[in-house]
Amino acid sequence: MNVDLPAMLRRLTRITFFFLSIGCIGFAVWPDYKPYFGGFMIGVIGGLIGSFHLAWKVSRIGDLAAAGRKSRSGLGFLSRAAIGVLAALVSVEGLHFNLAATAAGILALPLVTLLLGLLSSRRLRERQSADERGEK
Amino acid sequence: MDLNTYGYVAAGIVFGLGALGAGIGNGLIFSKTVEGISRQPELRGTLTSTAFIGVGLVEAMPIISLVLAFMWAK
Repeated sequence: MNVDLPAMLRRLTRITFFFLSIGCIGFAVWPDYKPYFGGFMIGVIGGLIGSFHLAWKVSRIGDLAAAGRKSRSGLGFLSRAAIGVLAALVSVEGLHFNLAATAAGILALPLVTLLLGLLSSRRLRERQSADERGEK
Repeated sequence: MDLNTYGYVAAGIVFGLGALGAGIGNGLIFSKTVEGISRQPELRGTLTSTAFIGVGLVEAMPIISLVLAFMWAK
């Protein structure tokens, strides 16, 4: 998984916009399913904000470990949990969207992150095996 | 106890067990990441991106369980 964190965040942002565009199209074309598409969009936005927060925390801990210093701060799980709850509250209580769709939207970006990591890992392995064969 | 009280207890158990698993998982991931970075600082980018993927997945479940617990317990 030889991908830099900023590159992965850029890809995540691109995929989030793809999900949002699908949600907007569904929101406009199928009015009966508005609660589902709307909840999914709110969940995806919450998931993206949580991913950015996690990347900031992980890179900070990496910096501290590389510098050999100790950190007294945590990983910010409560902040991300609060972002998830806020997204769900805005979606369900404020805008009357579907809760399950919001939860699916929050869960979508970690799954996309896993897929991106697996793909980049496979690409790296293929490149390394081609190098070993002397093709590159 | 009435049915609402059972709901609150269930919500607490759902989030508590989810957070317990996430705490153990995050601890394992970050202990190995910090160990790897301190051994080979030049692999910092690779190790942090791997930790990001792992922690993102580990934390997704307790966040979902917290959201569902809040909504169902209300």
